[in-house]
Amino acid sequence: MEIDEAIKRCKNGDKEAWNMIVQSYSRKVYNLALNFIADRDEAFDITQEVFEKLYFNLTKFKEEHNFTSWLLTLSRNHCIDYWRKNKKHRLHEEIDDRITNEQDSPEDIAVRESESENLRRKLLLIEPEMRIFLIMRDIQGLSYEDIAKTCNVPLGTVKSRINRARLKLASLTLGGKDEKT
Amino acid sequence: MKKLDCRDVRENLSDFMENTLSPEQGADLQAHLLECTYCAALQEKVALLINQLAEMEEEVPFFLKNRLYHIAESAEEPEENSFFNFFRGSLTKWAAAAAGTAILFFNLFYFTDIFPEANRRVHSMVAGVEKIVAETGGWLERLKESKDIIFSSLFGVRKIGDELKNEEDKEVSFVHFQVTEKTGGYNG
Repeated sequence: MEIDEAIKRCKNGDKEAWNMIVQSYSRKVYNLALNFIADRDEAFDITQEVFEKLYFNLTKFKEEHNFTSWLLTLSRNHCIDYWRKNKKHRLHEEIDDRITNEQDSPEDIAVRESESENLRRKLLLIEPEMRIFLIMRDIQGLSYEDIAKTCNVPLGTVKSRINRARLKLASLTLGGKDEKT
Repeated sequence: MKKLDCRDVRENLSDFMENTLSPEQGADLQAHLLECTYCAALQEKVALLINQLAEMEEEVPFFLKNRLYHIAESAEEPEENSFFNFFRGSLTKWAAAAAGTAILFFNLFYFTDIFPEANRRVHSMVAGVEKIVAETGGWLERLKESKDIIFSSLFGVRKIGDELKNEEDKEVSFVHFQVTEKTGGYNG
C-alpha cells in the first residue's frame, strides 16, 4: 500500500492503514526524539505524543505535500517545544554529571555506558536547532535539501549549522577547546 | 594556490569531506591539512563521528509500537461522560476530606476547652443526640411490645416470656398455699 493511499484510508478510520503508517514512520520519529533528548523514557513519550498529534491532525494533511517532511516538521517542532519546556534547566546538571567528568577513567566510562549513549549525551551540548539538523543529516541520512525543505530554512544555513555542529561535537570528544556555536 | 588558515578550513570542512568544493578549493584545503596537525586531527575526528552517528539508529521497541497502534483504537472507543466521572471522583475525595476534618474538629472541641463556646455547643449537641437516641429507644420498645401483642392475638402463640410469667405465678400460688396450710388459713 502506498503512503498516499494509506493516509486516505486512515482518514476514513481504517486501522490497518494506521498500522502501516506506524510501521513505516515510527523509526524516524523515535530516533529523532531519542537522539535529540538522550533519554529513552522521554523519547517514548515524545514519539507517542507526535503520533497522537499525527492521528488527530491527519485531516489537515494535504495530499500535494510530502508526508515525510510534514511528519518530520511535526516531530522537530514537538522535540524543540519539549526541550524548551523540560530540559533547559537540567542541561548543565547533565553535562556536569554525565559527560565532562574528567575523573572517570576511560574503563569506567566504557563500563558505565556504551559509546552511542555517551555520544548521544554529548549531542545535548549542541544548540537544539543545530542538533536537530545534525541528527537529520548524520543519523537519519536526509539530504541537505530535504532538511532545508522540512525545516523551512535556507540551504546555506542548514549546511553551515551542520558543519558547526560536527565541529563542536568533534572538539568535545577530542577534549579540546569548545567551538563557538 | 591560496594559503588557507585554520578558520577557513573549519568553515569548509564538511563541504570538503562531502566533495562539494571545487577542485581548487579542495586542493587548498588538503594542503592545509598536511601542514596543520590540529586541523588534521579535527578532520579525522569528524570523519569518525559521521561514521559513528550513522550507526546510532535503533529499532523501535515492540511495546512502543503497540502503544502507537493502539492510538487509532482508543480514538474510536466511546468516551464516557468525563464530566460526570470527574465530578464523581472529586466528590468522593472531597467528602472523605470533609468527614476527616469534621471528626478532627469535633474531637478538638469536645475534649479540649480551647474554644469554650465551641466546647459548650458540642456538648449540648451530644446531649441532644443522646436524648434523641433514648427517646427513639423507648419508641422502639413500645413498638416491639405492640408487635408482640398483635402477633399473639392474631396467631394465638404464647411467647416464652409469657410461659415464664405463668411459672412465676404458679410458684407464688404454691408458696401462698403452704403459708395458708401452716397458719390454718385466713382468719378473716
